[in-house]
Amino acid sequence: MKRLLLTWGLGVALLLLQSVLLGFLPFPWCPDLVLLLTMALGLHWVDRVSGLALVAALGFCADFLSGALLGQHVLVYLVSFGGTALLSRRLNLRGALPLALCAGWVTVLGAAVAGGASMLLGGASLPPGAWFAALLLHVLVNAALAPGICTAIAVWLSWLSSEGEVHRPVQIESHTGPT
Amino acid sequence: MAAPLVLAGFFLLALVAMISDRGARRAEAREMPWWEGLFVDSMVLGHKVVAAPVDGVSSVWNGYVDLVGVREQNAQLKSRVSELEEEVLQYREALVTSGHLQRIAEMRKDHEFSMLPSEVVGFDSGPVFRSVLLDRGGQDGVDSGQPVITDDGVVGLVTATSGHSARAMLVLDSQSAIDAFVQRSRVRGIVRGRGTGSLEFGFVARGADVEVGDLVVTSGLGGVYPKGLRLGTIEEARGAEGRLLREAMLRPAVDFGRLEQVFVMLWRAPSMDLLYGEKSDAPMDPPGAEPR
Repeated sequence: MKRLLLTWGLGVALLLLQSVLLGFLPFPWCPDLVLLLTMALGLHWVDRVSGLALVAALGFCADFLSGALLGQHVLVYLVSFGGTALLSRRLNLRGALPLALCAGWVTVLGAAVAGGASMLLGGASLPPGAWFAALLLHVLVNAALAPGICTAIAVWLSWLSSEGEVHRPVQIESHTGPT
Repeated sequence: MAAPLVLAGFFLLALVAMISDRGARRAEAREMPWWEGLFVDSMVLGHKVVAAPVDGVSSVWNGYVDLVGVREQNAQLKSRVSELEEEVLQYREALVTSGHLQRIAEMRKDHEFSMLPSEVVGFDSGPVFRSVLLDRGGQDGVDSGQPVITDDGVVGLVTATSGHSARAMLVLDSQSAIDAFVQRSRVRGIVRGRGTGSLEFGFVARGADVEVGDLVVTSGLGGVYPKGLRLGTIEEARGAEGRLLREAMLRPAVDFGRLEQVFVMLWRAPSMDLLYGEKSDAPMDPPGAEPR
């Protein structure tokens, strides 16, 4: 539970940091830190059920802070987490290049989900060509930062695990059956 | 086996939330529920805490950049200081009534609406949405449907409020559409956001007089923005090419990359009540307007 809450806190902090950074680095140059976090969680979070709850909670927080329809970021982060978890089962995503490619894929998928929902439910029109060019740049920015962020999240999660182990009581199993 | 079921459950929850939120935006006033307002207000505070060190680093860096070459300039400038000191006294009075302050004063006089200055404390993170978070909310008189402007032109529209913060959709958002006309030729059209840094001036009649460099302003006909607010300048005018209508690209009047302080017009068109519901506070009409 502590691990879950601390990682949620990290996600909210990243959301705030990203919002501040957007004042200096507008889209497409500002990386989508929370999307990359959900991707990294898809790779390293062991318990899938609690991981899904975590990214859904982060999605709702992002929706509250943005002009999106309530649920749009939830959808995007679920796709990012679930898609990465699924990919990591089939492919080896340990190197920098596979992680960058995965981040690019997740960014495109997230934009497609958010854009599709906006068009279907928000009345938005099909984005122009310039938007797709900007998205390509955004994909490159996210891809460049993905390996570093994934490593940082892996370190963060292992630190949280070791914190838990320090306080975990030692259990001694007794074998009462015949030897 | 549990994970796919949970994933499907959350997908369903997100879809239901989106559909109900869409309905809520269309049907009633978009006053945030207390828990959402509490969260957003605390995030605004958190944003200020996070922004403080970033702003500090930014100002130090800018200071360093500014210092490059300052030694050479310093010697020259010192000799000029004594001459300029005398001029400063003369210009001080003029400066008070010119520049930025005067533009704001003129703008307020032009529109005759109460305007509330507000700081932009957050930007949208995704590639699809274009909105900002403001540090003034319902307790300051801000309400959904009120226009947000700067002295350069239109910024957007308040779409949701909490006690101490408000969310405003920018004109750049692909869901934004404003009735407008070219100031020079009075040609009408619709200015729509494209989700990028530019705007589209569409639904313009074929053969209409639209030229690069023309200023496009709000027409006041949409019932959302008052007439005459600057939207942008025509950057590219395309021909109709066999179609009935032509379109043009606009460079926004407001520099959204440097958006810091905005003004919320404490006025809402009566037609906006249909979208956002009746207001609780009556004195939102401009002075001299017909009573509702």
